Amino acid sequence: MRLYRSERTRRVVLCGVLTAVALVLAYVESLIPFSVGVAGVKPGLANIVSLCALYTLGAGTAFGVLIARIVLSTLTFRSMSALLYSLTGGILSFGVMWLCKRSKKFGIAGVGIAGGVTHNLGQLFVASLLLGKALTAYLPVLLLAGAAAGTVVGAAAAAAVKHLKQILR
Amino acid sequence: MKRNDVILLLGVLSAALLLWMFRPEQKTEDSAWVLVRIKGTEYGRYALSENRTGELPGVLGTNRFVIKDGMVWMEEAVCPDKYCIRQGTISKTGQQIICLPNSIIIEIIGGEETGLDAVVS
Repeated sequence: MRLYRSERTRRVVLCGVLTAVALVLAYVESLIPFSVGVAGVKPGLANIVSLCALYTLGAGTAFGVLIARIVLSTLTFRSMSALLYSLTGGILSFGVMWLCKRSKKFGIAGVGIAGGVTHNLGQLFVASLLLGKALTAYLPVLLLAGAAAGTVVGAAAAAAVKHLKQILR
Repeated sequence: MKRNDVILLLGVLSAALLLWMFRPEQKTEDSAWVLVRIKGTEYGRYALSENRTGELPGVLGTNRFVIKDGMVWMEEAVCPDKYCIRQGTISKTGQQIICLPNSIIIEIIGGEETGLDAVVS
């Protein structure tokens, strides 16, 4: 990929591609029905992209890709009121993933798990605020779901980052 | 996976397990109530032992719930997802049926509020 000689151009292109991939993943996810009975239990495939961006482009750029993805996908596939849940969960989980990565104590899988769990905690928190009552009954299910989704997402991101790093060289 | 990743995963899983095991009060007294909240404020309180059907005017529209033989379920919902119907039947103290888009919570509470409920509300 020596065509894109300028580092800046390559980063901008990668940002666009990652945002597009995140949107497609969000769309694919919206097609799969999850009848677990608990709102908020979903794989969070788009988080693969956040992880990739975090590991290849750095925190600032990755945050931009995240916000772009959340705003675009929520307005396209879901409702305006879902934006509050998605933004809170997304920003919280991104912050925690960034801290986990910076601590250098975890691999991508661990960072993904931390992200998945905090994403669900953030959404549960917003739901509790909006309903005016703590929804403690959901906590175990959402922790479990976040950890499971995070493991899968982390593994997928680890595989993708390996190749993305070569492209960016 | 790094060693710390595994530790984190096990930590989260055991936290979920502990929360599940020590979840609030499970047994249901005869004096249990069905508490309905709309937008966080109490809308109505019905005896679990008394069969009835009720209309709940939520944010989007009116849902209908049923209390029959100590069981409670959402019969009809106007929201697009119908999670509240899929949540099925509840019959034990502490269980909830939640409809987010319509801002409705149906909950079974004991004759007295359980300890945890008193703390958070």
